[in-house]
Amino acid sequence: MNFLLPNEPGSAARRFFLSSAIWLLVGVIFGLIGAIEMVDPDLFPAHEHLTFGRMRPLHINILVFGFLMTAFFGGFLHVIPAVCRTKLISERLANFAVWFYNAIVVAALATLPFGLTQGREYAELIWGIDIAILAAVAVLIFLVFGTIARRTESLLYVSAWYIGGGLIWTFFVFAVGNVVWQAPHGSWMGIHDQILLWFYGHNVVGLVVTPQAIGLAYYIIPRATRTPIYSHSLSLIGFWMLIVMYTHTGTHHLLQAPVPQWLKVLSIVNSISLIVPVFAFLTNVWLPLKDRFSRVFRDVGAKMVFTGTIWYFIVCLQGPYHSLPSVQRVTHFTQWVIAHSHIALLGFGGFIAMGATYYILPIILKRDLYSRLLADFQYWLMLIGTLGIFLSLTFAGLIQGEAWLMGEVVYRVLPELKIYFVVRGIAGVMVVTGAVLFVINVLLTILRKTPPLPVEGSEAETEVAA
Amino acid sequence: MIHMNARIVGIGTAAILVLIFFAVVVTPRYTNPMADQPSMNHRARTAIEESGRDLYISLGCQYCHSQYIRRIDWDTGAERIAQAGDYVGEYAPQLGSSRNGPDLSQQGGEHTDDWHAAHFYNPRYTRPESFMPPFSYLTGTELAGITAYLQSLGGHMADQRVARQWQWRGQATAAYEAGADANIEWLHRNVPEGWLRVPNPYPITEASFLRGEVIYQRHCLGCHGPVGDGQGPAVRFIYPPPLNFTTLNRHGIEGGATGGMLYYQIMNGITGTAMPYFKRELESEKIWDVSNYVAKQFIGIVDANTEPRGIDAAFEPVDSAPVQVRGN
Amino acid sequence: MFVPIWLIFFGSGLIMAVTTLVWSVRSRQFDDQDRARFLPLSGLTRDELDEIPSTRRGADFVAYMLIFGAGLAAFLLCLVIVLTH
Repeated sequence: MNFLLPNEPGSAARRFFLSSAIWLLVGVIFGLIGAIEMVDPDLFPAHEHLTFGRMRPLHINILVFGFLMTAFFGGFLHVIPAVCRTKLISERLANFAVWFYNAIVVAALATLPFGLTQGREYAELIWGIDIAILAAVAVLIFLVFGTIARRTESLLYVSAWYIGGGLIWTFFVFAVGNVVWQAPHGSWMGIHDQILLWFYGHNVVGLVVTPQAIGLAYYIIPRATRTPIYSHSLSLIGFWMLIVMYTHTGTHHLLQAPVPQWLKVLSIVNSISLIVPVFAFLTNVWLPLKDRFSRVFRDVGAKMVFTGTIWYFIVCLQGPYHSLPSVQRVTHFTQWVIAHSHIALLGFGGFIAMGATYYILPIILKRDLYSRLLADFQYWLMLIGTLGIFLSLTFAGLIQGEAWLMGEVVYRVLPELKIYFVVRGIAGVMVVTGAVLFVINVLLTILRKTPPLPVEGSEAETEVAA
Repeated sequence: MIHMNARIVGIGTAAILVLIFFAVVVTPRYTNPMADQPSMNHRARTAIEESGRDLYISLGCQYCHSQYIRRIDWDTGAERIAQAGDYVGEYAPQLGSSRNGPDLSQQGGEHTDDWHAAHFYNPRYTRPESFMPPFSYLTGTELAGITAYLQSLGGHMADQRVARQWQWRGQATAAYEAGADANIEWLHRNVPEGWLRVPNPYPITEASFLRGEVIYQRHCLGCHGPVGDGQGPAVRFIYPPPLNFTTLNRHGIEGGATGGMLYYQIMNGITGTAMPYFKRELESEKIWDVSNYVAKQFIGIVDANTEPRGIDAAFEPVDSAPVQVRGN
Repeated sequence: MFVPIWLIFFGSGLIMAVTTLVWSVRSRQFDDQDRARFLPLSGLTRDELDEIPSTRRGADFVAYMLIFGAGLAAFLLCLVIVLTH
């Protein structure tokens, strides 16, 4: 009982971080297999479970629902009690969530390679797993809101809005997007289904990953740099605009498909308007660092989180840009989009997830990271790898898109792409190597038995208020 | 005074989310009758086609193949822009978001079943530059199902194309089985008379010959083989088998031109056989170049730039003396 | 079909946004919350928190105007593109 469901504070967060690191490694290996197959499709034996069409959903689902979500869960099990100045409502329940959620990811791993899929992008997981995910999210909602309800701090910090709100949105978006009332298809009929699917698909990024990542960044960057955020009002603007704008944007994935025109227009306008909440958040965490930027680099976790916000800046300028119809004439259906989703989920979400692990793990374990050097090395591997994937696929996408517009058929353009896929594969090897270092570092940090550091600030805790 | 608290964050944002969900998902669901009305081209699928669709979904084909044609497309299926009514009655329409292979929404009848069999076994057999995964592990039933599904894509228009393929397939098979002479005679009979008398208007230069070779390797080699004997790797799946070009030397048209005949067959394909058309992917000069390559390398009859030639293109060499080509 | 529905959404969205903004300003949502900025720093000692800069109102205003300006410009651009296509 005490091993399975310990009551020790921080144990659940610790385990979520460890599982996140392992799922990162698993997920990127599947990605690398897919990348190699696009360079040499006959390298691996012709086998159903290894085919690209199975590797890709596996890669995405393991990384989004395995790596990112578990790291975020681990992060907010620490952040929510911290900003509420209370304890987690139930450490045992949180530990139950660890096992339950990891069982779900294992179930994904055990179904997707065998072709058990709903055939809807980002909603591939079969009905039973969908329900289990909803149950797990419900447990986490209880943990977060239960903890918030017991808070001793009267003000609710912006991290808690994003994390709490983000979980509620995750529940709704996931239930609706997977059409869970339509077992076992999990789908509407006809073209309506695609409008629903992309409402969901875009919000997996916008309302599931983004708020969690922003919530953690809002906590980690100010604390690591000892610098408060710029303004509470900006937090408010960013938060409310995010839920309003992101929710509209799904149909920008269908601009060239036969769906109602007014809906396309609505999605484009809101995609462009997204730069308001994005800039509100970035201004809020970036502007105070004026003159004290070097502080970001004191902690490797904070450095990664900050890098994540830079990726967020890039991805959120690119997103509105290529939601314009005239741009999408070139970019749609091409590798450009794949490049974009890599910097969204690996660059933005992934860097914040890894940074949160590195920042929070030493705090809850009360000891230093196993190796700062290893972490720095991983940082550069991941950064160059992500950049390599982003640039190579962007170039490949532009070649594809322009060639198609000029009347070239898909087949004729394939030889032009090969070199970019090779570069992407090399970048992928760097990301996988980084993931190996991450697992090693996290594992050894947890396992290492060293005397704990003096607890941060416990002696002379001072109320800091303006 | 209300400030940000758990209730506002939870209930307030959820209310906004539900409101917008109704606006952007539920409203179009119930105000868009076009999406519930089958299009003129739409037809229901048979059981075997549905089984193939399940396999298509299970193998994740949608991650490389889209299923809707846009106004700006030129590739396979570009004859018809997708309509909302094309997807009526489908669970999880496979619209797709990425094109590493051609759009398949109008695939039906574009290729024959035997072409698909070779292509599924190893896509490089028919399309040497493809990076589609090999599907050699599919059982006979699975292959039949997914082929039937592909042939059903494109609705009534696809059905017409498939019917025409089968109609010509009978004649092509009969001609092949009647022997080499009869086969070539049948092939030539189905090239319009005018094309048969057109020689290749462009002389073979070293550069054009090498270009022709590259085009041959990228488009033709899988079936016709590296030495043009019709023994490419795809041949064991294809019937009637690909033409052995070397026989054209003996069985060719008496004193006739090869250029125009080859050009027409490459441009148009041979309906009913695995020979696809290349009009979309090879521009005029590329077809002439590969015709010259086949004629010189495999057939041994070169009619390039012979009479009747009209007025020479200005850039062509005035003297069409035979050019020394690598290896000859 | 397209213009009326779009205008309905456009109009109702605008009305709701403006109403919320007016309400939030009048109910002083944006006031007196400076302490909220410091919440993640709680538990740290004073000497770790050297020279915390205070928010300057002038810079505040510029930052807000930049963000709103960017949003408004993008929105108007969309409107122009939509109505001219």
